Amino acid sequence: MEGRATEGEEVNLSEAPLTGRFHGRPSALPVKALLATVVGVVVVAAAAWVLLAGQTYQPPSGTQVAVPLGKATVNGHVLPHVALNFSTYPFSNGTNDGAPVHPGGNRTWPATGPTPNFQVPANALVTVTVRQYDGGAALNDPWFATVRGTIGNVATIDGRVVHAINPNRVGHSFLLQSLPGAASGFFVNVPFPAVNGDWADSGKHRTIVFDFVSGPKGTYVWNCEFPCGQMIALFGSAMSTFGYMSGYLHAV
Amino acid sequence: MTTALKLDSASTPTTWSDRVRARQGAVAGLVVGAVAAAVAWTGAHVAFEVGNWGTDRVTALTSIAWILGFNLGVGTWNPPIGWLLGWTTDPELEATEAGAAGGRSRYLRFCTDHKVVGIQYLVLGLTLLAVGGVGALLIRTQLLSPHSTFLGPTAYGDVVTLHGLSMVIGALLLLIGPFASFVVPLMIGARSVALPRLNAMGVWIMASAAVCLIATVVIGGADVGWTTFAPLADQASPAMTALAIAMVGLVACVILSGISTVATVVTMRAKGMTMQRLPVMAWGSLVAAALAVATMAGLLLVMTFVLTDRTMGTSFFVPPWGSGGLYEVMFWTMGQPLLYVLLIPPAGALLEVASSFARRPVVNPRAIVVSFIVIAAISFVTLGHHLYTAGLSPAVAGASMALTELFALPVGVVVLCLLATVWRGSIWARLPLFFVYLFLWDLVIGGVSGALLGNPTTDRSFHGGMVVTAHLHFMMVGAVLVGAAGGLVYWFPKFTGRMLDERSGRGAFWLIAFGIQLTFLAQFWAGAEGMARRVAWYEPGFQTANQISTVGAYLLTLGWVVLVWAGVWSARHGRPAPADPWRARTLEWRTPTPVPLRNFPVAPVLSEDPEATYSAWTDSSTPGAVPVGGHSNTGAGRPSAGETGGED
Amino acid sequence: MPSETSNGTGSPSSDDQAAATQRSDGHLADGAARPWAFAVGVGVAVTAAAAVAAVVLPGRALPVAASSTATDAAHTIRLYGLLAAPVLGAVVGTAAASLIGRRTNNLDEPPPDAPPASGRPATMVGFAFTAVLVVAVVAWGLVTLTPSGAATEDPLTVRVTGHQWVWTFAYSGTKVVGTNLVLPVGRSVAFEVTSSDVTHGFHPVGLGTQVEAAPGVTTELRVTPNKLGPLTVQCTQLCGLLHSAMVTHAEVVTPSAFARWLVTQGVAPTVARTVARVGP
Ligand SMILES: [Cu+2]
Ligand SMILES: [Cu+2]
Ligand SMILES: [Cu+2]
Repeated sequence: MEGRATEGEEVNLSEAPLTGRFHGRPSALPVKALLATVVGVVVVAAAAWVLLAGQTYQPPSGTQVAVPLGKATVNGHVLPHVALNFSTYPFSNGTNDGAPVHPGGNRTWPATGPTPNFQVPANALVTVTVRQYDGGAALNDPWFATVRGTIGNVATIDGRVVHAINPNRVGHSFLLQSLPGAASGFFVNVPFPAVNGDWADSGKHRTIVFDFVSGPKGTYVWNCEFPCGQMIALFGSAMSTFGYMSGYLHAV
Repeated sequence: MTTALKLDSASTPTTWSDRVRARQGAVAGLVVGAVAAAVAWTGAHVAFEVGNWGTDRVTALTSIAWILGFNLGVGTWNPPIGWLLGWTTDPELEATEAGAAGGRSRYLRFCTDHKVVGIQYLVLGLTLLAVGGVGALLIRTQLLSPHSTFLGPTAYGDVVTLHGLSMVIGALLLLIGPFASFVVPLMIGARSVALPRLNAMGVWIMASAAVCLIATVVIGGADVGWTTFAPLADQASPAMTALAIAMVGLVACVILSGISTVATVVTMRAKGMTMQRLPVMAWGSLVAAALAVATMAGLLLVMTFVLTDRTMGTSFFVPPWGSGGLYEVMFWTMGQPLLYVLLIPPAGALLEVASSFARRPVVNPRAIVVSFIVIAAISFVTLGHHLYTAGLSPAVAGASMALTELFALPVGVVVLCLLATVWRGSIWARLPLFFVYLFLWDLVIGGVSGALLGNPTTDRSFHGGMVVTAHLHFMMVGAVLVGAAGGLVYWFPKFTGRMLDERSGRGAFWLIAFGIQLTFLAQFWAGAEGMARRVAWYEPGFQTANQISTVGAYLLTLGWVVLVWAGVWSARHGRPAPADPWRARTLEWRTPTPVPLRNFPVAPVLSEDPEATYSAWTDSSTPGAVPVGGHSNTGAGRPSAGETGGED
Repeated sequence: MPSETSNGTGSPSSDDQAAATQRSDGHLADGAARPWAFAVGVGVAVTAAAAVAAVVLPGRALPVAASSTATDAAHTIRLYGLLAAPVLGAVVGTAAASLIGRRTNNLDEPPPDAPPASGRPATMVGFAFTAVLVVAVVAWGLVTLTPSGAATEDPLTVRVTGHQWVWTFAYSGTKVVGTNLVLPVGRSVAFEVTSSDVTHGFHPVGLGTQVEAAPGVTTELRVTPNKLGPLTVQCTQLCGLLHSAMVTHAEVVTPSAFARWLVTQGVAPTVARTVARVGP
């Protein structure tokens, strides 16, 4: 360095070959490429696992397969008839006949149990029975208090057939729609009324029963339209985390 | 003086502060930061009820404590604290902090050597780009089929946000660090940067902020996109609070390093290195740094408002008092110039590359510099093109369109000068030059699609769709990252003292070149068909385009991995590089590699040749060329012996 | 610098001659005696290919244009593509010609220096060319922005509300609120767009226009569907969890079919015919 400093710009530039190519090493390229691919797959898989399983607010897993009930006739068509049952709870540590919902999830959030994911046959009559254990308040838009897309656009609430409920006393709701490009126009919306009085996980519940005809094969998503989360429009937290107030419905 | 090395206090006894400072570094930072975060988390849980704003307050305090604590442990705060408390410091410690001790450990410490800072930024930037790359692969894997349940909508949205932000920040750090901090001071003949401590503070603040950013995906995720538009950002999980604090850290980093770059270029140029003769690369970094500093106030404001909205119940972006429109205007006031902060330095770097490998000076450098400045100026008044669908009146939309399309003029001049530099040059077909051609191709596609999106009529068909995604990726990957990669490959011998393996580099280049075309041209196709951006599910009709894009994304990622792998391998085992392997003409090649602590063995002095170009390239065979340099005719920008700064 | 001059530096007055003398080992000699011809050839070919692509590809990819706005947009895309074709051709032609000229692939030794170029004439010509393109692009943009005056006096007003994560459409003059959009052909529609929570983007794909749906604000969008058939309405502003599912079916129908549809939604036939502007 000292020598160069005094020589100024008279630096010998050709002291080393300019190419960076390295010679005389046996090529281990295939092995390395394989190794790199394996490492890459592991990295991406690990990232996916962290995202899905390592979350603070881990959504529940598991899919409830609808129970076959036989055949039913709808508008002159004979369809398979199946049943789904689920409950909506004020807290994720609420119980469904003793079984905790959302182990490892955020216990202070409302939740759907035992699982928010369902599987039904395609083009079948689905009878859904919901037990709603939560209190409630007003919807952001009263429009969601009407029943739509079910057989007769009605639901049976505690034995009473209704087309709409009080939009200011809603507990949760079930809005089912298709994913882009599939089953155009498929839409189901059923509001669940709130439990009266002292509601917090007291075991009181409302029972909602409704029937709808599932669409063609594919994946559908449902979500709750009652603002039961936090932050803006009360649609944050539980409402914005898949698996608490939302889930898949697979038509197979 | 400018040096961080003070040798006039040799008799100072060891003080408590010195004993602490001797132990500071990344490890101490992790420990202190973790302890501070744990204490803040516990305290905040006592003070605030969890839920609604409470969780956000806990997150905010924990994130702030982590950043403050980490940097306390690293030693980032030593300059202001030491100045306030009047520390007198052991000269040996000072010298170590300035990087005199050498060794690898200085890369894990608060070190004011701008070259060390440059490499620290390089590693941090590549880390963030790797995180963003993994995110990209997850996104593209989800999009292989139209109704995939691979990630689910929550994780998908969180990944979209992390991918965008870590890519943008990672690219920015490559320009701040290796370019502005490492190369530019050498290029202008400076023997240090003007504000070495400020320069060194930025990288550690950013490192701790990056942890907050990456942590968002495991503390609830922020399903908001890189633009973090409010009011959605006001609704997202508490991870959004950590993200906003990470953005505040980014603001601090960009302002500190930007001020350092501006001050260095303005005040530290070698004798004879007039602004007229400043290399275009240095000009580009100067303009970009000034632009970055000017825009960061906007980012700071929106992020502060998001934070107060989330933790204190203000409603800057929440109706009825506030509005999301306010966020959009404030964000793009900052965001639009930021995109040009990202574009200008890679263009400058590739102009230097073109000069070296076409064996002639950069053509028409004055026009290029004027273009850089014009681009920076226009970028402040073109935010309107992001708002065509927000209900702009036809008059405002028309004015925004006219200003936006004006970008074609200065960008066109840069492209023309780049082309004129290689046109009928003596082409030395080495790896860095490859990136010049790829940059040109991608920039034309990105620019033309940008002109299309600058038109309100077409934008109203494509806004919020994959055409926008494709356009911005042609700019961000095709131009910015390709330009940055070309620059990094070009200066690799100066960074590492070794030659990059040319064969692996070329393999990587072709993977990158074709990967970009496959990935993003297919996204143009999907977007034209009507696919929205940032969606986890799409109409089955768009599947072919998405599958092509996914295959392209994997090839593209493979290309980057091969390039980084070649870099890491070559940095250890590559052929030793001479000081000036490219026979280039700018000053950074006129000093030995590894670059000595004070950059140049003797302070370089440039002759006062009025005809010398910005790139300080003068060919001795040019008719009428005046010999420059101290005592020989070897070209401008060469240091001449005997004329030192008088400091050694 | 000795090592640079050892290969001999080309005479600046005649670079072709310099190239011709550089045939020593490793150096590829001048591959094109006339780089201009090569540049023009490549440039013209690329321009032609890009122009054909600009004309043909939009028709294959774009959704069916169901309004004059969408047709304008498609024309604009083709026009910009045509204007961009010579830009791409010029850049590719010049860049390619620079590679086939004097070039060395020798890794160890750089070729001799090229003569410096002022580049001013080329830059001026290119700049002028770019300026012409910019003027054309801006002028055309202003033309398409100018209201055509075709908006009828009597629009059908539809109030569009973005919800997380469904659209609802309310038809003025009726009590119909639904999640599917049905529009009569040939009549101007005034969408009054708002949101009940965060910002959404209301984009009826195929109508060639869209507008933000922001909470607390009503934005208006006017468009006249001119083609019967199905459309898609999608959300173009990331709006949280199920943004990706916020896609809805729309249908452009004849006015009488529109009236019949209103009746199926519970509107009295007389009211439906009045709203749909069809005679009894
Ligand atoms: Cu709910
Ligand atoms: Cu809810
Ligand atoms: Cu939306």
